[in-house]
Amino acid sequence: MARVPKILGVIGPKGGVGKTTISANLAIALTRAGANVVAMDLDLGSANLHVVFGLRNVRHTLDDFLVNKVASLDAVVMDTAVPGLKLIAGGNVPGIASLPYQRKVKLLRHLRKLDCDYLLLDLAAGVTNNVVDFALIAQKSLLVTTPDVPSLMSLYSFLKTSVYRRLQLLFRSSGDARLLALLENAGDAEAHPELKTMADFFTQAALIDPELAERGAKVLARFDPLILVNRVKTASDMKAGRAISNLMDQFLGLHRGEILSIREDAAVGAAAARMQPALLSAPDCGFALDMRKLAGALGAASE
Amino acid sequence: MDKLFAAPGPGQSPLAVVFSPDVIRGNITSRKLRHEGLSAVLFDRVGDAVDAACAGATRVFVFDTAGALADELRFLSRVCDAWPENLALLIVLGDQPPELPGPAHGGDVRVLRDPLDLERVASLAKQACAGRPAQPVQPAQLGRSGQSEQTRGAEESDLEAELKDFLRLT
Repeated sequence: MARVPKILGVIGPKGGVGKTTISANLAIALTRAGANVVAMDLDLGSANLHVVFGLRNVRHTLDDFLVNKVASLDAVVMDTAVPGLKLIAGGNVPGIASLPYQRKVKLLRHLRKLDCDYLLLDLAAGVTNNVVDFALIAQKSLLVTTPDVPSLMSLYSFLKTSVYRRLQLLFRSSGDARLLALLENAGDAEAHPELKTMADFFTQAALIDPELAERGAKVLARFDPLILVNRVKTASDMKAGRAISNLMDQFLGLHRGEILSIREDAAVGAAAARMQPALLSAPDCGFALDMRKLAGALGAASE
Repeated sequence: MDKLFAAPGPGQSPLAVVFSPDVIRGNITSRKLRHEGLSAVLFDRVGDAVDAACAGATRVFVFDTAGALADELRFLSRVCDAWPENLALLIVLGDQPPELPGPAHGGDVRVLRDPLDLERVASLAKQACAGRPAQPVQPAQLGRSGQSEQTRGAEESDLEAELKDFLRLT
Protein backbone atom coordinates (compact mmCIF):
# COMPACT_ATOMS: atom_id res chain seq x y z
CA MET A 1 0.00 0.00 0.00
CA ALA A 2 1.39 3.37 -1.03
CA ARG A 3 2.24 5.73 1.79
CA VAL A 4 0.34 9.00 2.09
CA PRO A 5 2.65 11.97 2.48
CA LYS A 6 2.44 14.32 5.41
CA ILE A 7 1.81 17.67 3.73
CA LEU A 8 3.61 20.73 5.08
CA GLY A 9 2.59 24.15 3.77
CA VAL A 10 5.29 26.83 3.98
CA ILE A 11 3.56 30.18 3.79
CA GLY A 12 4.99 33.68 3.83
CA PRO A 13 2.04 36.05 3.56
CA LYS A 14 4.42 38.98 3.09
CA GLY A 15 6.93 38.50 0.31
CA GLY A 16 10.66 38.48 1.00
CA VAL A 17 10.54 36.98 4.48
CA GLY A 18 12.69 33.96 3.60
CA LYS A 19 9.94 31.43 2.86
CA THR A 20 11.66 29.76 -0.09
CA THR A 21 15.00 29.64 1.70
CA ILE A 22 13.33 27.96 4.66
CA SER A 23 11.46 25.55 2.36
CA ALA A 24 14.66 24.41 0.66
CA ASN A 25 16.67 24.04 3.84
CA LEU A 26 13.87 22.41 5.80
CA ALA A 27 13.45 19.88 2.99
CA ILE A 28 17.13 18.99 3.31
CA ALA A 29 16.94 18.82 7.11
CA LEU A 30 14.02 16.39 6.83
CA THR A 31 15.91 14.15 4.39
CA ARG A 32 18.96 14.22 6.66
CA ALA A 33 16.69 12.90 9.39
CA GLY A 34 15.91 9.91 7.18
CA ALA A 35 12.71 11.00 5.46
CA ASN A 36 11.89 10.97 1.76
CA VAL A 37 10.78 14.42 0.77
CA VAL A 38 9.24 16.05 -2.28
CA ALA A 39 9.49 19.84 -2.30
CA MET A 40 6.97 21.48 -4.59
CA ASP A 41 7.14 25.05 -5.81
CA LEU A 42 3.57 26.30 -5.60
CA ASP A 43 4.57 29.92 -5.96
CA LEU A 44 2.68 29.84 -9.24
CA GLY A 45 3.92 32.33 -11.80
CA SER A 46 6.86 33.42 -9.66
CA ALA A 47 8.62 30.14 -9.00
CA ASN A 48 12.22 30.03 -7.87
CA LEU A 49 12.67 27.10 -5.50
CA HIS A 50 14.82 25.30 -8.08
CA VAL A 51 17.14 28.32 -8.19
CA VAL A 52 17.89 27.95 -4.47
CA PHE A 53 19.16 24.46 -5.35
CA GLY A 54 21.17 25.85 -8.26
CA LEU A 55 19.18 23.81 -10.80
CA ARG A 56 19.31 25.44 -14.22
CA ASN A 57 18.13 22.79 -16.65
CA VAL A 58 14.58 22.04 -15.56
CA ARG A 59 12.95 19.84 -18.18
CA HIS A 60 9.42 19.76 -16.82
CA THR A 61 7.70 22.06 -14.38
CA LEU A 62 4.45 21.98 -12.47
CA ASP A 63 2.99 24.21 -15.18
CA ASP A 64 3.35 21.32 -17.67
CA PHE A 65 1.05 19.27 -15.49
CA LEU A 66 -1.39 22.12 -14.91
CA VAL A 67 -1.73 22.87 -18.64
CA ASN A 68 -1.98 19.14 -19.47
CA LYS A 69 1.32 18.81 -21.28
CA VAL A 70 2.00 15.77 -19.11
CA ALA A 71 -0.63 13.46 -17.67
CA SER A 72 0.89 12.62 -14.34
CA LEU A 73 2.38 14.69 -11.56
CA ASP A 74 5.11 12.04 -11.26
CA ALA A 75 6.35 13.12 -14.70
CA VAL A 76 7.43 16.52 -13.35
CA VAL A 77 9.19 15.20 -10.25
CA MET A 78 12.94 15.65 -10.60
CA ASP A 79 15.92 14.40 -8.62
CA THR A 80 18.21 16.74 -6.72
CA ALA A 81 21.79 16.32 -5.55
CA VAL A 82 20.46 15.59 -2.07
CA PRO A 83 19.69 11.89 -1.54
CA GLY A 84 16.05 11.42 -0.57
CA LEU A 85 14.97 14.84 -1.83
CA LYS A 86 13.01 15.36 -5.03
CA LEU A 87 11.71 18.59 -6.44
CA ILE A 88 8.75 19.76 -8.46
CA ALA A 89 9.85 23.05 -9.97
CA GLY A 90 7.42 25.78 -10.84
CA GLY A 91 7.28 27.51 -14.18
CA ASN A 92 6.35 30.93 -15.47
CA VAL A 93 3.39 30.39 -17.77
CA PRO A 94 1.50 33.72 -17.86
CA GLY A 95 -1.74 33.62 -15.91
CA ILE A 96 -0.94 30.33 -14.20
CA ALA A 97 -1.26 31.99 -10.77
CA SER A 98 -5.00 32.41 -11.35
CA LEU A 99 -5.62 28.72 -11.21
CA PRO A 100 -9.14 27.72 -12.31
CA TYR A 101 -11.10 25.70 -9.77
CA GLN A 102 -11.01 22.43 -11.77
CA ARG A 103 -7.23 22.54 -12.13
CA LYS A 104 -6.85 23.27 -8.46
CA VAL A 105 -8.99 20.24 -7.57
CA LYS A 106 -7.02 18.08 -10.02
CA LEU A 107 -3.76 19.17 -8.45
CA LEU A 108 -5.02 18.60 -4.91
CA ARG A 109 -6.11 15.09 -5.91
CA HIS A 110 -2.72 14.22 -7.37
CA LEU A 111 -0.69 15.71 -4.53
CA ARG A 112 -1.79 13.05 -2.10
CA LYS A 113 -0.65 10.30 -4.46
CA LEU A 114 2.99 11.32 -4.46
CA ASP A 115 5.17 8.62 -2.95
CA CYS A 116 7.11 10.29 -0.13
CA ASP A 117 7.09 10.81 3.64
CA TYR A 118 6.81 14.59 3.47
CA LEU A 119 5.39 16.78 0.73
CA LEU A 120 6.58 20.30 1.32
CA LEU A 121 4.60 23.01 -0.45
CA ASP A 122 6.36 26.31 -1.01
CA LEU A 123 3.36 28.59 -1.41
CA ALA A 124 3.07 32.05 -2.91
CA ALA A 125 3.01 35.25 -0.91
CA GLY A 126 -0.29 37.02 -0.43
CA VAL A 127 -3.67 36.02 0.94
CA THR A 128 -5.40 34.75 -2.19
CA ASN A 129 -7.96 31.95 -2.10
CA ASN A 130 -5.52 29.68 -3.93
CA VAL A 131 -2.88 30.07 -1.25
CA VAL A 132 -5.38 29.70 1.57
CA ASP A 133 -6.88 26.56 0.00
CA PHE A 134 -3.51 24.91 -0.56
CA ALA A 135 -2.66 25.78 3.03
CA LEU A 136 -5.91 24.12 4.12
CA ILE A 137 -4.87 20.75 2.74
CA ALA A 138 -1.59 20.83 4.64
CA GLN A 139 -1.51 18.87 7.87
CA LYS A 140 0.80 21.51 9.23
CA SER A 141 1.02 25.15 8.19
CA LEU A 142 4.37 26.82 8.70
CA LEU A 143 3.83 30.57 8.63
CA VAL A 144 6.99 32.54 7.99
CA THR A 145 7.33 36.13 9.13
CA THR A 146 10.08 38.55 9.99
CA PRO A 147 9.86 40.50 13.27
CA ASP A 148 8.78 43.79 11.65
CA VAL A 149 5.27 45.21 11.90
CA PRO A 150 4.27 45.00 8.18
CA SER A 151 5.25 41.36 8.02
CA LEU A 152 3.43 40.53 11.26
CA MET A 153 0.34 42.34 9.99
CA SER A 154 0.35 40.22 6.82
CA LEU A 155 0.72 37.11 8.94
CA TYR A 156 -2.26 38.09 11.08
CA SER A 157 -4.34 38.82 7.98
CA PHE A 158 -3.50 35.41 6.58
CA LEU A 159 -4.46 33.69 9.83
CA LYS A 160 -7.72 35.61 9.97
CA THR A 161 -8.53 34.68 6.37
CA SER A 162 -7.69 31.03 7.09
CA VAL A 163 -9.98 31.00 10.11
CA TYR A 164 -12.84 32.55 8.14
CA ARG A 165 -12.28 30.24 5.17
CA ARG A 166 -12.41 27.16 7.40
CA LEU A 167 -15.63 28.27 9.04
CA GLN A 168 -17.10 29.40 5.73
CA LEU A 169 -16.53 25.94 4.21
CA LEU A 170 -18.11 24.25 7.23
CA PHE A 171 -21.17 26.48 7.32
CA ARG A 172 -21.62 26.26 3.54
CA SER A 173 -21.46 22.48 3.56
CA SER A 174 -23.98 22.47 6.40
CA GLY A 175 -26.21 24.85 4.45
CA ASP A 176 -26.66 27.28 7.33
CA ALA A 177 -27.12 30.73 5.80
CA ARG A 178 -27.63 32.37 9.21
CA LEU A 179 -24.19 31.42 10.46
CA LEU A 180 -22.65 32.41 7.13
CA ALA A 181 -24.25 35.83 7.48
CA LEU A 182 -23.05 36.15 11.06
CA LEU A 183 -19.53 35.19 9.94
CA GLU A 184 -19.64 37.84 7.25
CA ASN A 185 -20.62 40.41 9.86
CA ALA A 186 -17.78 39.28 12.12
CA GLY A 187 -15.38 39.99 9.25
CA ASP A 188 -16.23 43.67 9.53
CA ALA A 189 -15.40 44.38 13.15
CA GLU A 190 -15.76 48.13 12.75
CA ALA A 191 -19.40 47.80 11.73
CA HIS A 192 -19.99 44.97 14.22
CA PRO A 193 -17.89 45.63 17.33
CA GLU A 194 -20.01 43.09 19.19
CA LEU A 195 -18.32 40.42 17.03
CA LYS A 196 -14.76 41.61 17.46
CA THR A 197 -13.33 38.30 18.65
CA MET A 198 -13.99 34.71 17.64
CA ALA A 199 -15.17 34.13 21.20
CA ASP A 200 -17.83 36.81 20.59
CA PHE A 201 -18.73 35.14 17.31
CA PHE A 202 -19.16 31.69 18.85
CA THR A 203 -21.27 33.12 21.67
CA GLN A 204 -23.65 34.61 19.08
CA ALA A 205 -23.43 31.54 16.83
CA ALA A 206 -24.42 29.25 19.71
CA LEU A 207 -27.67 31.19 20.06
CA ILE A 208 -28.48 30.41 16.41
CA ASP A 209 -27.25 26.82 16.06
CA PRO A 210 -25.41 25.48 19.13
CA GLU A 211 -24.39 22.21 17.49
CA LEU A 212 -22.90 23.81 14.39
CA ALA A 213 -21.24 26.49 16.48
CA GLU A 214 -19.58 23.77 18.52
CA ARG A 215 -18.41 22.04 15.35
CA GLY A 216 -16.96 25.34 14.17
CA ALA A 217 -15.09 25.77 17.45
CA LYS A 218 -13.69 22.25 17.01
CA VAL A 219 -12.49 23.08 13.49
CA LEU A 220 -10.50 25.98 14.91
CA ALA A 221 -9.24 23.92 17.83
CA ARG A 222 -7.58 21.59 15.33
CA PHE A 223 -5.81 24.42 13.52
CA ASP A 224 -2.30 24.48 14.94
CA PRO A 225 -0.05 26.62 12.77
CA LEU A 226 3.63 26.87 13.50
CA ILE A 227 4.82 30.48 13.38
CA LEU A 228 8.41 30.85 12.21
CA VAL A 229 9.87 34.22 13.11
CA ASN A 230 12.76 34.49 10.68
CA ARG A 231 15.84 36.73 10.75
CA VAL A 232 15.78 37.21 14.49
CA LYS A 233 18.68 39.42 15.53
CA THR A 234 17.91 40.69 19.01
CA ALA A 235 16.05 39.65 22.15
CA SER A 236 13.46 42.22 21.22
CA ASP A 237 12.90 40.48 17.87
CA MET A 238 12.07 37.30 19.74
CA LYS A 239 9.07 39.05 21.27
CA ALA A 240 7.42 39.28 17.84
CA GLY A 241 6.26 35.69 18.15
CA ARG A 242 4.69 36.36 21.53
CA ALA A 243 2.91 39.46 20.21
CA ILE A 244 1.31 37.62 17.30
CA SER A 245 0.51 34.66 19.50
CA ASN A 246 -1.36 36.93 21.92
CA LEU A 247 -3.42 38.36 19.06
CA MET A 248 -4.18 34.84 17.79
CA ASP A 249 -5.39 33.89 21.25
CA GLN A 250 -7.37 37.00 21.92
CA PHE A 251 -9.04 37.70 18.58
CA LEU A 252 -8.93 34.56 16.44
CA GLY A 253 -9.50 31.88 19.06
CA LEU A 254 -6.35 30.05 17.96
CA HIS A 255 -4.85 28.61 21.11
CA ARG A 256 -2.62 25.88 19.73
CA GLY A 257 -0.20 27.83 17.59
CA GLU A 258 3.48 27.37 18.29
CA ILE A 259 6.37 29.72 17.69
CA LEU A 260 9.93 29.13 16.67
CA SER A 261 12.58 31.80 16.16
CA ILE A 262 15.11 31.43 13.36
CA ARG A 263 18.19 33.50 13.76
CA GLU A 264 19.65 35.93 11.26
CA ASP A 265 22.75 34.32 9.82
CA ALA A 266 25.20 35.73 7.27
CA ALA A 267 25.81 32.17 6.05
CA VAL A 268 22.33 32.17 4.47
CA GLY A 269 23.07 35.15 2.23
CA ALA A 270 26.47 33.72 1.31
CA ALA A 271 24.84 30.41 0.39
CA ALA A 272 22.19 32.15 -1.72
CA ALA A 273 24.91 33.97 -3.66
CA ARG A 274 26.39 30.56 -4.51
CA MET A 275 22.91 29.23 -5.35
CA GLN A 276 23.24 26.54 -2.72
CA PRO A 277 21.12 25.93 0.39
CA ALA A 278 22.90 26.92 3.62
CA LEU A 279 22.46 23.41 4.99
CA LEU A 280 24.79 22.18 2.26
CA SER A 281 27.33 25.00 2.19
CA ALA A 282 27.45 25.77 5.93
CA PRO A 283 25.92 22.78 7.73
CA ASP A 284 27.09 23.96 11.17
CA CYS A 285 25.85 27.53 10.97
CA GLY A 286 23.23 28.77 13.40
CA PHE A 287 20.54 28.83 10.74
CA ALA A 288 21.26 25.18 9.93
CA LEU A 289 20.91 24.30 13.61
CA ASP A 290 17.54 26.03 13.66
CA MET A 291 16.42 24.12 10.57
CA ARG A 292 17.35 20.81 12.20
CA LYS A 293 15.46 21.88 15.30
CA LEU A 294 12.46 22.68 13.11
CA ALA A 295 12.66 19.31 11.36
CA GLY A 296 12.75 17.66 14.78
CA ALA A 297 9.75 19.66 15.93
CA LEU A 298 7.85 18.43 12.87
CA GLY A 299 8.39 14.88 13.96
CA ALA A 300 11.41 13.92 11.90
CA ALA A 301 13.81 11.57 13.68
CA SER A 302 17.02 13.22 14.80
CA GLU A 303 20.18 12.65 12.79
CA MET B 1 44.31 26.91 29.09
CA ASP B 2 42.39 26.64 25.84
CA LYS B 3 40.39 29.82 25.98
CA LEU B 4 38.41 30.29 22.79
CA PHE B 5 36.83 33.64 23.26
CA ALA B 6 37.81 35.93 26.04
CA ALA B 7 35.93 39.09 26.77
CA PRO B 8 37.14 40.47 30.16
CA GLY B 9 40.16 42.73 30.18
CA PRO B 10 43.57 41.94 31.70
CA GLY B 11 43.41 40.83 35.31
CA GLN B 12 39.62 40.55 35.27
CA SER B 13 37.80 37.30 35.79
CA PRO B 14 34.60 36.65 33.88
CA LEU B 15 31.17 36.60 35.50
CA ALA B 16 30.24 33.64 33.34
CA VAL B 17 32.21 30.64 32.13
CA VAL B 18 30.86 28.58 29.27
CA PHE B 19 31.98 25.07 28.42
CA SER B 20 30.74 23.52 25.19
CA PRO B 21 32.13 20.67 23.12
CA ASP B 22 30.55 22.41 20.14
CA VAL B 23 32.49 25.60 19.44
CA ILE B 24 29.74 27.18 17.35
CA ARG B 25 27.04 26.52 19.92
CA GLY B 26 29.31 27.64 22.74
CA ASN B 27 30.15 30.79 20.87
CA ILE B 28 26.48 31.56 20.38
CA THR B 29 25.84 31.12 24.10
CA SER B 30 28.79 33.19 25.25
CA ARG B 31 28.02 35.92 22.75
CA LYS B 32 24.46 36.05 24.00
CA LEU B 33 25.70 36.49 27.57
CA ARG B 34 28.06 39.25 26.50
CA HIS B 35 25.23 40.86 24.54
CA GLU B 36 23.28 40.91 27.81
CA GLY B 37 26.15 42.72 29.52
CA LEU B 38 27.84 39.79 31.27
CA SER B 39 31.52 39.12 30.77
CA ALA B 40 31.76 35.56 29.49
CA VAL B 41 34.55 33.25 28.43
CA LEU B 42 34.15 30.13 26.32
CA PHE B 43 36.24 26.98 26.73
CA ASP B 44 36.22 23.76 24.77
CA ARG B 45 38.36 21.90 27.33
CA VAL B 46 36.40 21.00 30.39
CA GLY B 47 39.29 21.01 32.85
CA ASP B 48 40.18 24.57 31.94
CA ALA B 49 36.55 25.60 32.15
CA VAL B 50 36.19 24.12 35.65
CA ASP B 51 39.38 25.82 36.78
CA ALA B 52 38.05 29.15 35.54
CA ALA B 53 34.62 28.59 37.06
CA CYS B 54 36.13 27.85 40.46
CA ALA B 55 38.24 30.97 40.51
CA GLY B 56 37.84 34.70 40.95
CA ALA B 57 34.49 36.37 40.58
CA THR B 58 32.82 33.82 38.32
CA ARG B 59 29.16 33.57 39.29
CA VAL B 60 27.72 31.40 36.53
CA PHE B 61 29.03 28.23 34.92
CA VAL B 62 27.21 27.14 31.74
CA PHE B 63 27.97 23.49 30.98
CA ASP B 64 26.75 22.20 27.62
CA THR B 65 26.34 18.41 27.81
CA ALA B 66 25.10 17.91 24.23
CA GLY B 67 27.81 15.89 22.55
CA ALA B 68 30.03 15.89 25.67
CA LEU B 69 32.13 12.78 26.41
CA ALA B 70 31.62 10.66 29.52
CA ASP B 71 34.92 11.93 30.94
CA GLU B 72 33.79 15.49 30.47
CA LEU B 73 30.44 14.82 32.13
CA ARG B 74 32.22 13.52 35.25
CA PHE B 75 33.50 17.03 35.82
CA LEU B 76 29.92 18.13 36.41
CA SER B 77 29.62 15.98 39.51
CA ARG B 78 32.97 17.22 40.69
CA VAL B 79 31.80 20.81 40.46
CA CYS B 80 28.68 19.98 42.48
CA ASP B 81 30.68 18.05 45.09
CA ALA B 82 33.29 20.73 45.57
CA TRP B 83 31.08 23.69 44.89
CA PRO B 84 33.22 26.85 44.88
CA GLU B 85 31.97 29.67 47.07
CA ASN B 86 32.15 32.22 44.26
CA LEU B 87 29.77 30.24 42.07
CA ALA B 88 26.05 31.10 42.32
CA LEU B 89 24.63 29.04 39.49
CA LEU B 90 25.46 26.04 37.32
CA ILE B 91 23.38 25.90 34.14
CA VAL B 92 23.43 22.44 32.57
CA LEU B 93 22.38 22.38 28.92
CA GLY B 94 21.30 19.30 27.02
CA ASP B 95 18.73 16.60 26.59
CA GLN B 96 20.09 13.96 28.89
CA PRO B 97 22.31 15.45 31.54
CA PRO B 98 23.75 13.08 34.14
CA GLU B 99 22.21 12.86 37.61
CA LEU B 100 23.88 15.42 39.78
CA PRO B 101 24.38 15.69 43.52
CA GLY B 102 22.94 18.81 45.13
CA PRO B 103 25.30 21.77 45.18
CA ALA B 104 26.94 22.94 48.37
CA HIS B 105 27.18 26.51 49.72
CA GLY B 106 23.67 27.43 48.69
CA GLY B 107 24.46 27.38 44.99
CA ASP B 108 21.90 26.46 42.41
CA VAL B 109 21.80 24.03 39.49
CA ARG B 110 19.39 24.49 36.58
CA VAL B 111 18.92 22.08 33.71
CA LEU B 112 17.70 23.38 30.34
CA ARG B 113 16.96 20.67 27.81
CA ASP B 114 17.41 22.91 24.81
CA PRO B 115 21.09 23.86 24.51
CA LEU B 116 20.10 26.85 22.41
CA ASP B 117 17.49 28.29 24.73
CA LEU B 118 19.51 31.47 24.89
CA GLU B 119 16.86 33.68 26.44
CA ARG B 120 16.59 31.43 29.47
CA VAL B 121 20.30 31.01 29.82
CA ALA B 122 20.72 34.78 29.74
CA SER B 123 17.80 35.38 32.07
CA LEU B 124 19.05 32.89 34.66
CA ALA B 125 22.62 34.12 34.39
CA LYS B 126 21.61 37.74 34.85
CA GLN B 127 19.55 36.89 37.91
CA ALA B 128 22.43 34.95 39.42
CA CYS B 129 24.92 37.73 38.72
CA ALA B 130 22.53 40.26 40.25
CA GLY B 131 22.48 38.16 43.42
CA ARG B 132 18.84 37.16 43.09
CA PRO B 133 17.74 33.56 43.38
CA ALA B 134 16.86 32.10 39.99
CA GLN B 135 13.15 31.81 39.27
CA PRO B 136 11.91 28.29 38.65
CA VAL B 137 11.68 27.38 34.97
CA GLN B 138 10.10 24.59 33.01
CA PRO B 139 12.20 22.36 30.77
CA ALA B 140 12.91 24.03 27.47
CA GLN B 141 10.49 23.16 24.72
CA LEU B 142 9.18 24.58 21.54
CA GLY B 143 6.13 26.74 21.58
CA ARG B 144 4.17 28.98 23.81
CA SER B 145 5.19 27.29 27.03
CA GLY B 146 8.77 27.72 25.81
CA GLN B 147 8.62 31.48 26.31
CA SER B 148 10.91 32.90 28.94
CA GLU B 149 9.41 34.09 32.21
CA GLN B 150 10.39 37.60 31.30
CA THR B 151 8.54 37.44 28.01
CA ARG B 152 5.56 35.69 29.52
CA GLY B 153 5.33 38.38 32.19
CA ALA B 154 5.04 41.13 29.64
CA GLU B 155 1.31 41.20 29.13
CA GLU B 156 1.33 43.49 26.18
CA SER B 157 4.48 44.65 24.52
CA ASP B 158 4.82 47.86 22.56
CA LEU B 159 4.92 45.75 19.43
CA GLU B 160 1.63 44.09 20.28
CA ALA B 161 0.00 47.44 20.98
CA GLU B 162 1.30 48.74 17.66
CA LEU B 163 -0.04 45.70 15.81
CA LYS B 164 -3.46 46.12 17.43
CA ASP B 165 -3.48 49.73 16.40
CA PHE B 166 -2.56 49.06 12.77
CA LEU B 167 -4.96 46.13 12.55
CA ARG B 168 -7.70 48.20 14.16
CA LEU B 169 -8.19 45.70 16.91
CA THR B 170 -8.29 48.27 19.72
